[in-house]
Amino acid sequence: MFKAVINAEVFKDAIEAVSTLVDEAKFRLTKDGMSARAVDPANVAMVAFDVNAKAFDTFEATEGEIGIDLVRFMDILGMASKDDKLQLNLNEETRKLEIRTGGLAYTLSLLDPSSIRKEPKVPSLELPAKIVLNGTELRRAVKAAEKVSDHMALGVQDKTFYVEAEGDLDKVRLEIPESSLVSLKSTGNVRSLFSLDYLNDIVKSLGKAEQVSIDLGSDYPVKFTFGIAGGNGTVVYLLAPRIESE
Amino acid sequence: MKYAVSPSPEQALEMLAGNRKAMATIVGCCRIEYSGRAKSFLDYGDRLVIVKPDGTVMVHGDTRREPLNWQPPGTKVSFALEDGLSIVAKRTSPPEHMHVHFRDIHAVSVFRLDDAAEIDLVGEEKDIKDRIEKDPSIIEPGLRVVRREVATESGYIDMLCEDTAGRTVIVEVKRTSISPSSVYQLEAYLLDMRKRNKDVDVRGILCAPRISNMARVLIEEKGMEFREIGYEFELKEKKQSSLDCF
Repeated sequence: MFKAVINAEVFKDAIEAVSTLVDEAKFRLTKDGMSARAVDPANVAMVAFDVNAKAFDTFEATEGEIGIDLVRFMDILGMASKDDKLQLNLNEETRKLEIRTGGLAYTLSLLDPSSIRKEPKVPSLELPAKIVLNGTELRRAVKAAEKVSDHMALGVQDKTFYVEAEGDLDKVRLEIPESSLVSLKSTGNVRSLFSLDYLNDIVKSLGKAEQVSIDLGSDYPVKFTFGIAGGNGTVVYLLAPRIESE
Repeated sequence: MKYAVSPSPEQALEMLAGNRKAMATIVGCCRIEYSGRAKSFLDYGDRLVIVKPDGTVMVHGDTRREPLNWQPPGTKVSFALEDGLSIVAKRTSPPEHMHVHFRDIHAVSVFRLDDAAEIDLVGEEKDIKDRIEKDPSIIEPGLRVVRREVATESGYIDMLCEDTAGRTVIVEVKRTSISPSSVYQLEAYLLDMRKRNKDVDVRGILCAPRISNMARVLIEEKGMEFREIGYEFELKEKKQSSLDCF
């Protein structure tokens, strides 16, 4: 059973965190909220999504799993206006999700959860550097790097966080010293390279966050953590690095 | 993956309509009616039809490289039973309508392909020239590149080189194949060069993956040379790793 009411924009922004990486996902429902764990087909980027019942105006759910076609879901959510309320209701008999917003009533056929790619195990990584900064700074860095290359390095050098991209002809480097960051903790210099294709997708959602926490190492995956739904939800992205082959 | 040999139209329909996210191949005796930019009608015959999840449709006969008919990604594909299996593919810009009707189905397969590999194709003319410059021995051992894009009365020479005997060599690169007009082009450059320096011994080499028979004859008659230069699939130096490596 699942019945909930939530602000349309808040919910759309939350779901976008998952839809930007995968086309379909399994959502787990409990009385405390909803969550999803998904990895892209190439096993390069992973998302762990959690939204608390407190993010909703009303939330009632019994333990269960639903499979959602995120492309269609986002299409429907896109029909809602920013300030509208979204009413969600799971029709268990028909396995359809009823979505009501601003006078429109949709029914979305749900996917068989067992047909969706298996949920990934989120690796536990101890990464040496932790940087906390505003999401828009990171989005700006990604936009700057895109003009120059298809991959971008993230690093810490001498207590300065930097982002660097080098193409055939041009190069761009953005440095943010500790004083301009919310915080920076590092046991040394680190650097890892990432594909801008993925970073672009990640930054769509992350770019809206006030504070993003980046766990970074050298030639290790990067972990991005930020809040959604006004602090009542969390998104964690894990992105595998590009490594220089021997 | 699902596979069926000699399925009934109903079985085929169930397989196809129930797996829209899968790539489907149907081999059978079919008729194709097409109207759009042109009109065409292909009567019943054994063919292979491929339907991809993104709407791409290909109809292949058992000869030649090019499909008999095709529709690009974004096409709306639907399946139906109309005294046999029917596949309807519709597009709106430009408006196109393709109707494939099977009177006999030999085999149907549906499979989900997870493919996010990046292809790095080195095949532009400039790439071939770059490769030659990096290692001229792929044309001839001991060859040295002196200058690129050298101006002559008849146009720009791709590469001006020198061989081990100190002779000037003009190298002209074509991306696809050498035709008689490429031969005449190089001949013009050779004449220009000989006009400028009456004593100089100039060789001409044409490079491409293929050469037409006519061009081959002309090259021999005119005392020029041909070198076959193929494409290379190069792996990116900074390879994308996946999360399961960590």
